Amino acid sequence: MLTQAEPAAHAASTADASPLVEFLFGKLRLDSVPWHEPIIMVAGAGMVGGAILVLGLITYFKQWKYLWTEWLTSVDHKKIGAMYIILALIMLLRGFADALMMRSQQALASNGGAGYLPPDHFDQIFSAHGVIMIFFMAMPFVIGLMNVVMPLQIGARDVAFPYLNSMSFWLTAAGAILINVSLVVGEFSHAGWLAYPPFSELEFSPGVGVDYYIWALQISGLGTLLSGVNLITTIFKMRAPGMTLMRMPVFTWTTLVANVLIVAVFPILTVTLALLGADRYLGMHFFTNDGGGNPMMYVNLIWAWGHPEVYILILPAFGVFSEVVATFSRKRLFGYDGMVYATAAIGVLSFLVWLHHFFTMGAGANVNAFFGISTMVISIPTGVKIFNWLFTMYRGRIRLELPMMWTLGFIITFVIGGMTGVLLAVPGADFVLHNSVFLIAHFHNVIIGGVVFGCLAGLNYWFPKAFGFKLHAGIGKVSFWCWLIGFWIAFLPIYALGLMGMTRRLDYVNNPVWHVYLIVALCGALLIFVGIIAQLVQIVYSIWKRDELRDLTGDPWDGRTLEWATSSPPPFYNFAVLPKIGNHDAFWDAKQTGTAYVQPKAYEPIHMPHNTPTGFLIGIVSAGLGFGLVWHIWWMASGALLVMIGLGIVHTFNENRDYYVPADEVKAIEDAHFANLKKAEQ
Amino acid sequence: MSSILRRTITRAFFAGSLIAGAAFLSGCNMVVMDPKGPVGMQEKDLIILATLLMLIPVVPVIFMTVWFAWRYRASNKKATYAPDFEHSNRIEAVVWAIPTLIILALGAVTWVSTHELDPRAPLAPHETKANVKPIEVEVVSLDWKWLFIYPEYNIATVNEMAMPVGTPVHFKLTSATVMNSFFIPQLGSQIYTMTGMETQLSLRADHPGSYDGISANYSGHGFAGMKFQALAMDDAGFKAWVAKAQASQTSLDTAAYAQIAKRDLAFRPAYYASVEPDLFHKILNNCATGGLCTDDAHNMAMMKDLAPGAAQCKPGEAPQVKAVKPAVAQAAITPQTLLQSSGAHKS
Ligand code: HEM
Ligand SMILES: [Cu+2]
Ligand SMILES: [Cu+2]
Repeated sequence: MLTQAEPAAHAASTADASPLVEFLFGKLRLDSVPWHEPIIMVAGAGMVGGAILVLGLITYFKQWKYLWTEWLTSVDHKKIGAMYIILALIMLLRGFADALMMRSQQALASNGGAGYLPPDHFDQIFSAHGVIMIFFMAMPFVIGLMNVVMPLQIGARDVAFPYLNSMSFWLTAAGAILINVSLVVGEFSHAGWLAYPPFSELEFSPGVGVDYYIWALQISGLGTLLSGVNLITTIFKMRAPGMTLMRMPVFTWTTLVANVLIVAVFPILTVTLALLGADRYLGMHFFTNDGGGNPMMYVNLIWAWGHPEVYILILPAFGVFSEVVATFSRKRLFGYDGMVYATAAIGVLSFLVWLHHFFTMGAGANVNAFFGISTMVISIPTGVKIFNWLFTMYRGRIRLELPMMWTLGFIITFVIGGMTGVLLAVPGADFVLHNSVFLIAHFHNVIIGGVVFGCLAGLNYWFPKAFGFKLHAGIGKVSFWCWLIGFWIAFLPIYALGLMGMTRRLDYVNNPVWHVYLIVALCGALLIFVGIIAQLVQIVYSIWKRDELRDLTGDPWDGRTLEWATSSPPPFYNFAVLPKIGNHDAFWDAKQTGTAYVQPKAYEPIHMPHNTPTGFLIGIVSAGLGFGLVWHIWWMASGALLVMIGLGIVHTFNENRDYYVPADEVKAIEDAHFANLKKAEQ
Repeated sequence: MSSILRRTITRAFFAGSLIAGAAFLSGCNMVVMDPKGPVGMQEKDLIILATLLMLIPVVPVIFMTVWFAWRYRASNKKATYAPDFEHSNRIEAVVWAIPTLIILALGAVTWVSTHELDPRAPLAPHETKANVKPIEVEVVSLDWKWLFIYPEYNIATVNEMAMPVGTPVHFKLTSATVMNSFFIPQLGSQIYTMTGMETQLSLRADHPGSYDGISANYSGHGFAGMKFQALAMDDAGFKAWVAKAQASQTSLDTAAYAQIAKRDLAFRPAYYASVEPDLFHKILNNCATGGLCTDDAHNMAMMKDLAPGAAQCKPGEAPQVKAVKPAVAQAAITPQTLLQSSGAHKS
């Protein structure tokens, strides 16, 4: 334990390579792959094996063409949204495997033993876990839900820039690919999910890990930013006639605010990482210990992005809960205006609190008190939201279907997490709780109880809309209870350990008392594991039994907003005739007044975009750009960049971007839908 | 099947909460809730007060969630159903007022306590020692160990420090490596240590004992082992401890410092009978192992660029966290001096 050799990638010497090898492979050598690390090799083999299996199955079932035309080149927001969510679920597995490794390492290495992970490997695991969970699990999940649902909710036929949307997704996917490549080729960053300098500078992190981190986030961050622009434009420009801003469903509102936050803060992330990259690649001194660098600047910048980022994740989750509560209470959402103002207020306030992540850096009392109090102020609109959900349930007719169960689990879990969060916002309390595992417990409490529960509520709620059949309720309940109970068993002991003085990111602790708590926490994590597996089984089983779970109406939950007005799955053009909106519960009102299911006499041709492979190709090539930059393979990096630019330019010459769906075709599709509706009535 | 499932789930839930409850109740291990000095004491009270304040809305919300979900379940046709009830000025006023009032109260508590607990604020001695002066300790975080310099006694120690019970200790802190956080959980407040910056902290131990000290900010492979002991002893014990250090055979000169500044994982407590003059100041200015000190470089640049005497950077002058290496300094730093001054912690 005490004499740790630097990992292979640090030691790999590139000095004695011939210029040709150097040119061709940059810093990459055969020994960049950690052949001697059994854990990594097994995990890597699993990953590669899985990929080969999937590719083999696609080939065996001759699905390449289908995959290419229906998915990879698709610009349909519903399919892109679905791909975002599939990416999120895969990355959830990867991120959770990391979590289990950390939990078992700490359980093993708390009673005198050394555990099975050397420090450097452990450090890479918590860094990878944090990065994957935030950037490649939570973000894609949330953006996926927005993509699937928001255009349907506002009565649009697609997003404003469908091709850009496809490119955004594939850039995000490229970032995820880079992160996973780092598992086997080289190493991942060991500098934590925010890569604080000076630790992340070359002086302390000479390996390629931090470079993987930088380029994975730069590439996927670009995708996120573009997607933000796209979704904002969609909301402002493409709402159905009559849908004023104050008639938008609350999920669309939260989508709008979250994307405004994305557009406002992702450039900060990009610049911050670019400056760190300049230090590492160009020998600059923005954040180094020497040469006039100032690491505190990085800490401020990264949190100026980082705090709004957590609201980018939680606001859409709040939106999901708002829709679910109203639908399953069969009641109008209580205090719609208040919800909208609260959302906007949270969005604005989220810019004024970033310093609460480093009260212990030595700022003066006035500064600390200001940021502490501004943080607490956010809990006012948040509290209002919670009360509004409660008063939506009040005098309702509540159906305890899966989305509603996730919502109830959320409220109960989230208020505790919110409470410990406000506690951490009191600088005096934070002085002893900062960087402890109490903090870890707090943010998992809000991020699992809030974001993850919200995503899973949304998945169960909108899955039948996207695919035309419900998810199996029984298996879903197993998943729900395992997650809920597992969460509390996994993280209550962590709260306690924080009060016992345990800091975060410890690869061993050697404390027999803590040992017991860490074992309990491991059991909780294993229960969550059962929950995750049940979630996946639920999806697979439901696909298998889809005919039994089929919904012909397009409105399986007796919904209130516009997405339930069209068929499930919706036709690629979403709405044959754009609806007129008089209220935020537009579809509910239509059902009340009997105007919901009236087939129009005639249809008009519909203007739709063509699929294009450009977004997919640019995205995939960008992974090559990242890989070349990580390993200093300049021909690869510059070549990839040129190809990307070339693809973009070639795309501009493509005049054949859109077409009209003939009215007859629309009529045929709509007739089938109305026939289904008849069938469902019987 | 579903009733068995439900029963199992209920049981698992109760078992879980029992374990969790038991875990929480064995509170004697909760060092943060068992402080041994005034700073930690106040912080513990603050945690309890803030928690209680927040439980005022949190408990009713949890209760209402369960109650409403049960009371208004779809199968309960007796409950009132008001599908269009979506607005009530009275309820909305209350709903905004409750969190606002709580936050007003908590905000006031925060404002006052943050000023009282300002790590830079001087700390009074224990009432039994009315007139003693605080002890000065200079702290440097290294990979992966802690260096303590006692300028008043001209001694230094590694991974062990001592203080007399009841006497406040005034720490000045910096780092000779990455950022760390200096933290003795049972005494209260932690504070970051950063290269080229000086932070300050005052603590006091009111009970004798040996308290664990840690780094609370991740700093690399050796982070988990970067611990020290903080000994709180009576005046006689402290004198003896100082004498023990003074009796040590080694002194902390440039060479010895260069030795401990190296990265290593297993560093046992060490004592140094004397300390190179101004060592802390040199570490702060990146010249403890040779090279041009950044404050000197800064001053030279100032003298070149500005009217004589315009802005002098005197050590220990600024009370705030201060960057002693503002960007202007770069003007006077030649590549040569840069190389020298950054050489200290090249791996
Ligand atoms: C599903 C169950 C999960 C478990 C059991 C789990 C467990 C852990 C553990 C053990 C750590 C390291 C704690 C330490 O530093 O001592 C950690 C850190 C972290 N987790 Fe999770 N986690 C889970 C889910 C999530 C999710 C869903 C997210 C975000 C969406 C997330 C985000 C993070 C982040 C950002 C860190 C900090 C990484 C760092 O220190 O740089 N985790 N988690
Ligand atoms: Cu390393
Ligand atoms: Cu924050």
